[in-house]
Amino acid sequence: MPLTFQDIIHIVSWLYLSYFIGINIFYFFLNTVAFIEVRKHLYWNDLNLLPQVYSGFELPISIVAPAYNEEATIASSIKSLLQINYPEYEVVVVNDGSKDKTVEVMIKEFNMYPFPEATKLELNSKPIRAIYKSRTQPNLRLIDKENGGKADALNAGINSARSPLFCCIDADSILQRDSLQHVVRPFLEDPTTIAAGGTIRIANGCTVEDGYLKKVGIPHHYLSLMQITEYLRAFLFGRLGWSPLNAMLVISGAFGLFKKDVVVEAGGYRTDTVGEDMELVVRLHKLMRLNKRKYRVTFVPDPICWTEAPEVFQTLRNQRVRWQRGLCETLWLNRELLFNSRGGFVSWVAYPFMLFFEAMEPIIQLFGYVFTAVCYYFGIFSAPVALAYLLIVIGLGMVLSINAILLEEISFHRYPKLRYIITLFFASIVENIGYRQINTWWRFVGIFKFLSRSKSGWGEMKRKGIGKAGNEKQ
Amino acid sequence: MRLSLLYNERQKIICHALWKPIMVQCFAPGSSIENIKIKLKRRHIKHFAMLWNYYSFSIKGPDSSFLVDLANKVRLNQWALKKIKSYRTRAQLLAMVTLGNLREKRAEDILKKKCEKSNYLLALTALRSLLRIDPKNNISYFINLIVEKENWPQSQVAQILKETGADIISKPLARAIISARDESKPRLIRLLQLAHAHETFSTLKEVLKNTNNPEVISAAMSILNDPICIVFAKQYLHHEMWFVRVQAARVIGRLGTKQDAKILYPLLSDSHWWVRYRAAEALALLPMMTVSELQSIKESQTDPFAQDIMSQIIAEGICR
Repeated sequence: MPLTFQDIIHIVSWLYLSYFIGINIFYFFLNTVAFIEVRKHLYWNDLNLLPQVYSGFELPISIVAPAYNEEATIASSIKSLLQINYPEYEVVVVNDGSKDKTVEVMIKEFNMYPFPEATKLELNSKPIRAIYKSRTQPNLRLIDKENGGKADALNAGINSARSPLFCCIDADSILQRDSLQHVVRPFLEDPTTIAAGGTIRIANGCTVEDGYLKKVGIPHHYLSLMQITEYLRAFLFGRLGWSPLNAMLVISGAFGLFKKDVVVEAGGYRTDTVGEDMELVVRLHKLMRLNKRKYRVTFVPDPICWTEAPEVFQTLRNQRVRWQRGLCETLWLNRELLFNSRGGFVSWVAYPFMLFFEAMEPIIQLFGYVFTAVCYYFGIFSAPVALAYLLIVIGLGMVLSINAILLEEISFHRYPKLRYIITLFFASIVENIGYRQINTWWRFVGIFKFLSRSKSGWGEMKRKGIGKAGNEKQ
Repeated sequence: MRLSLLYNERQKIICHALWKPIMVQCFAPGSSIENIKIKLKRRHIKHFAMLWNYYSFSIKGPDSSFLVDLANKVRLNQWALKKIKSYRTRAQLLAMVTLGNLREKRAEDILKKKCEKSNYLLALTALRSLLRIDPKNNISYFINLIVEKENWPQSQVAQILKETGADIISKPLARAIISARDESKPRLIRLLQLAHAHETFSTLKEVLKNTNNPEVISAAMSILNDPICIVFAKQYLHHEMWFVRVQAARVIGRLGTKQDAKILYPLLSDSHWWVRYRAAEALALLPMMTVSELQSIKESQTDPFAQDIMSQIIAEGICR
C-alpha cells in the first residue's frame, strides 16, 4: 500500500522525536560522567595547595606559538609566555609570512640574532626564511617562514621543537602561570597519554595585566556573554564527559599538549583543512585504535587558558562557519573510523555522535523549520503540540546550560560575584531564543562551504583587546 | 551553594587570622605552646589542618617540634586518626598528610593498608606519610612497591624519594635495581640520580656489565657520571639503536677529554638528528675545546648535515 502524505508526516514526526530523545540522552549521559569526573579532580586541588617541590622528573615542553600579523600584541604575549612557572620549557614562535612587522618587533624586543639551526625535517612545511635566537632569553626562538597557514606554521614549529612534548597555543591566548603544570599532569600520571587539552575560558570582561589575567569578570556585550555559557557547556560537560571514556575528539587549537613523536608519526597537522586541531586529534585516535596501541587522550578541567571572544557579528559568523566546516572536513577525512571494528568507543559512540548530533544537526534543525511550514500550509499543523515541543527543546537546552554553570560553581568557581552567576544564568536562558537559531544558520553555511570546497585562509579575527578598550587589531 | 562557599571562605579567613601568627612563632627560638589559650573551633579544623600541613612541609628539622606540640594540643592527631577512615577521599587524603607530618606511629598500620589501594593518589600519599613517620624502616617497603607498581607516576615517586633523602634511599634502591627484571630497570635507574654518587656508580657499572637491553643501557648512560665509565660509552657509540648512540655521545661530552674528539666525528653524519646534535654538542663540551677548533672540525666534514649541525653548535656558543 503506498504511503499517504499523512503517513509521511507521521513518520517524519516520529523520526524527529527519536532524534531529539537520542541527542538528549547523550547530553545527560555526558553530564553525569562530567559530574563524577569533576569530583575526582577536586581531590588534587587540596593537595596542590600544599608546597610543591619539583622532582626533576617533569617532562620538558616546547611551546609552539604560530603568529600571523600580530605586531600589535606579539611582544606582550611572548613576555607572558616567558613567565610561566615550569622547570624546563622553550618557546618557539613561528611567523607565518606576516605582512606586518611581527618579525621586526620580535627581533627588537627580545634582542634576536639569526641562528644557523640544522632543522629536523620530520614534517613538511613551507620554506623557512630564517631562524632567530634571543640573546636575552635563552629559551626563545623565532622561525620566520613563508606563508602557508596555521597548520603549516605549527608543523614548522614542531620540526624545530626540541622537547618530547609540545604545546600548541594561539599567540594571543592568555595562559595562567601554572597552565603547563596542570596540563602536563596526565603525561606524568600515565605514560600512555599522547595528548591533553585544557579548558578555554572567555576573557572578555576580565582584567588583563602584562599578559596575565588579574581579575575575572563578565562582559557587557550580549554576544560574548552568550559565548561564556556556550564555552562552559562545551568544556565542562562536553569534553569532560568524553575524556574518561578516552573518546574526546577535540582539543582546542588555542591550547593543547601533545607527545611529539606520536604527532610526527601521524604526519603532523594537515594543511588542507580549516579544522586542523580537531583533525589531528581524530587522526591520532585513528592511528592508535586501528593499530591496537594503548593510549590516552585526556582533558584537564582546570581553567588554564583564556581567549578573547568575538563581539562583532561578522567575525563570530566567520568563526562558526569555519568551526562547522572544520568538523565536517575532519569527519570526512577520517571516515574510516566510523563503525570500525577496531575503533572501540571512538568508532561506535564518539564519531557517530559527532556525525549525527553535531555535524548534521543544523540540516535537521533547518529541515524541521521547513517541515513545520509545510504542515502549516497543508493545514495539519497543531499549534499546541508544536509549542509544547518547542518549549521542551528550549527547556532542555536551558537545563544543560544551567548544569554547566552548576559544574563550574561546584568545581572552580572562577566567577567571584554572585551577580556574575545570576547574569550567566539569565544568559543561558536567553541564549536559546534567537542566538542558537542564528548559530544553526551559520553552521548550515559551514556545511554548505564544506560541500562546495571553497578556499579558506588563516581565519583572522577583529578583536578589541582584553582589559583595554579600543585597541583594534586587524 | 554560593552561600556555603562564601561561609567556608569566611571561616578560612577567620581561622588563618587566628592561627597563622601562632604557627609563624615556630620560627622564633624558645617558643612555647603553654601561652596559647585559643581553642580550635570544630568548624575551623579543616582549614587549620591545611594551614598546619602547609607550614609543616615548609620547615624542616627540630623547629617542627613546636608545630607538632601545637597540633597535639588542639588534638589534630585524634581528628586525623578518625578522618583517615572516612569514606570521603578528600578527607582521607588530608588526614594521611596530617598523620605523616605529625609522625604519628599509631597510623602506620592503616597507612600500609592504604598503600595497597589501586587509586595511586591514595597509595602514594599514604607512602609519603609512612616515610615521614619512619623513613629507615619503611624505605624497603616503599622500594618493593615501586618495583611492583609500574603505573605509578615517576615524577611523584621521585618527589617522595627526594624528600626522604639520599642517605636513606641509596642502598635499598641500588639493591632493587640489581635484582629487578630488565623491563623494570630503566624506570628504577632513572631514580638513581637521587641517590649518592658512589652508590650510583657501582650500581650502574654492575648493570652495564650484565645487560644487552638497549633501554637499560640508555637509561644507565643517561646518568653515568664517573670518568672510569667512559669505556662503556665508547663501546656503544655505534649501537644499532639511535637512542643508545645519543646517550653514548652525551657521556663522551660529559666525561671525555680532547683526545676523544675523533671518535665522535662519524656520529656527526648519523642518520638521526639527535645523534648528530649530541655528538656536536659533546665536541663543544670537551675540555679545552675552542671555537676555532670546532670551526676546523666543521670544515673537515664532507657531509653537509655534519657541517650544518656544527654550525648550529658553534652559534649556540656552548664551549666550556
